[in-house]
Amino acid sequence: MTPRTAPQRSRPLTVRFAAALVALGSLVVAACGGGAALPDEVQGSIAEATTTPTTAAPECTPEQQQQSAVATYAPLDPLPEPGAMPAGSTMAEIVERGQLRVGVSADTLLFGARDPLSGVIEGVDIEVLRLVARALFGEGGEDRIVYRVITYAQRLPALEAGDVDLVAHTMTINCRRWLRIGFSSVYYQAGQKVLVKTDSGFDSVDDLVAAGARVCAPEGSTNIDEIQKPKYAGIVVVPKPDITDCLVAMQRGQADATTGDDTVLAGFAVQDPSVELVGEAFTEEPYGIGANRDDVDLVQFVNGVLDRARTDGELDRIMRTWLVDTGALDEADVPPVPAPDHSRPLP
Amino acid sequence: MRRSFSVRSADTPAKLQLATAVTVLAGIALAIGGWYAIDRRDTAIDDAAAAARQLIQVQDVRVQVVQADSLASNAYLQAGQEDPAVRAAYDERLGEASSGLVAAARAATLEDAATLESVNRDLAAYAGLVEQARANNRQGFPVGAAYQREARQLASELVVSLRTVEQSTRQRVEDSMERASRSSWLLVLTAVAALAVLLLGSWWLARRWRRLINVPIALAALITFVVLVFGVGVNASAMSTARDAVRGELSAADLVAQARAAGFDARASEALTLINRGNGAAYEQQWQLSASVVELALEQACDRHDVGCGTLDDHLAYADGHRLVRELDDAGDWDGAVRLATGGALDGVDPSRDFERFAASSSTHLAEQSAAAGAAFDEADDSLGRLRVLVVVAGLAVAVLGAAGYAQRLREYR
Repeated sequence: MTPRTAPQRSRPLTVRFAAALVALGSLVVAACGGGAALPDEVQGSIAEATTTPTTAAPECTPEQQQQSAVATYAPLDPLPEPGAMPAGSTMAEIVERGQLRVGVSADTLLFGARDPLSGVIEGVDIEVLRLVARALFGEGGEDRIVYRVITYAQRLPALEAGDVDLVAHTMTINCRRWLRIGFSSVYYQAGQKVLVKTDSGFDSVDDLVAAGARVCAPEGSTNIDEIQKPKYAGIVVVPKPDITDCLVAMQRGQADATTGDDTVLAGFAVQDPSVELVGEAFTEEPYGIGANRDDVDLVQFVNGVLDRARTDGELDRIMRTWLVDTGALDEADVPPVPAPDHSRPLP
Repeated sequence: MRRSFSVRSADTPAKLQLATAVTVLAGIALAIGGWYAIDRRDTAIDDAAAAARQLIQVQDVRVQVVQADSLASNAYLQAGQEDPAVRAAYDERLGEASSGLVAAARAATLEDAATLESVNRDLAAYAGLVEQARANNRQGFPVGAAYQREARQLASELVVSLRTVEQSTRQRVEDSMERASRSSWLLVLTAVAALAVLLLGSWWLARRWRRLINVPIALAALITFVVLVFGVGVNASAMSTARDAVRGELSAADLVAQARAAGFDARASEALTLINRGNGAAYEQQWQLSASVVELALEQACDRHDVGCGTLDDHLAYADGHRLVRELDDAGDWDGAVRLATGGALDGVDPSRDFERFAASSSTHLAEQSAAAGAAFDEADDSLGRLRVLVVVAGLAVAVLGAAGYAQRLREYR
């Protein structure tokens, strides 16, 4: 609103005065014009994320499913001595490089977990890899291992891309995975179980079904697929990005139970005395060491190393150290080291 | 006294009385209208200043929260070797964030106050999660990392809430400034009306009594004119002082505060990429996002306000160090990466040192700019306060002088 109410008289003085007022009025308008905006909130940006093209996971044909998933290639016989790997073999390549690159977990207590005080990653998976490293490089070979901590989802891609030579990461051998990578013989026979609060009164997965309990499982895992089967209808599934988040969910009262491999759950029971494993395993999860699909010789070499460790009791010692001595399992509950199946024909 | 032939003498005292009444009313209108107009602008500028303080306060809370999270994440990485000073700094940040939230809630709108209160509740939950992470970690339990992730998730939700409060507070600054810019017209209107009444009166007196000038009324007109010119001038300058503060110092403070919050966020993300060895890819993305906010905000502050140019350099140096941390970790040297990230220099590269420089320099700039913005608002407030008194006095003076001027003529009829 611009006040221009000066008296309009014919006298020159008044006219001039009116003009001055008009000028003043416009000054007021000028002084008022324009807001005082703050800058917009700064929005960041990141370079386009490089997404790996997701190809549909290949399915096993009925024919392939006929073959036992745990069947692997026959071990190298005799096993080459450290430092004397056959020329041109994958093992010779690794020895020449001076590094065995492995993909492991760093948060699966008992199998692959970093001790926060020492910074060392340790567990059953790690011990098995150390056996392989010693067989490749000789005494002190375990120091040649370069650990790459990877997620569950990165296990197959890391091998396919050749980022790592071997993966030991509580990995279940199955037909579909054989289509993408190679597996060693079974070094541990795990199974899917449930973990509950000690005072909950739940003694098996059936109790959880009957009670309509909230059961946590990691998203995208074979564990969650299993628990969503019709026979478990009634269970309220609580999905979490990582199995460790399930222990957090239980401790915070967001879930009554967690389902996963007994190995991982045993590690949870070590970390939290108020939870326990109950009931029988309702799936079979045979663990194997993964290698690139083309590194058949490396799979054969690892099978030879595992065979030797079965014979000389080294595998038993590893299981006792990590599963019994830590108080995770009673001696009687440790499954026997499975016998190898070397019936898979070489490609 | 001679009388004009054209005006019937019987009408003249009535006309003089009417003119007196109109002039006194015009003077009082000037006093009240001017006071009201200036008061409205002053109040609006006060509101803008209060909102500006609130914005800085809420941003400070956000920085404290992110800083606490960054300290907690780094302490987690060090586990057994946790530095007690880091722990103390973490506690201090949390305490300051909490008291900052209480202070901010008092000065907030109802809606914002509710958000801030829920942020304060979540902050307590956050501290609980960090404790769980720490306790588990010290026992060597990897579930601690999951707690740290959970804590981080909650912290990012807190930050989102705080950012919505910041955004609504920015809006309050702008709305108040808009209101301030619209509220001076009543002063101009009443001053111009009073001037018109006085000039018309002078003209009538001059013609009727053939006197060139009636001293009190001319004086009143002069005062009104001065009030008009001076008032519009002061009013406009107070407005432009406030506006410059918003466009200048407050904008610069806003940008530096955003850069600071994003900088600490990046630092926390860096620790999380290492805590979650191998599961850290998502946090590296978060690092890049936050680092780009730091750079954009500081580039704007440097280009437009010549503030924080050195801070930008500090951050770029830190970013180089961060890249080396990632290279080491990606190449399998996790221990080396952790050493570098938590205070050990490598070939002269020391991201911790560079980050501390960034933190210190951004803190200095933020304090300087917010203090300057506050001072500018105070200056505008002071000058409007003085003007308000002046206008009231002037309006009353116009009323008195006007009455006195006409009284000189009116006396002739008694």
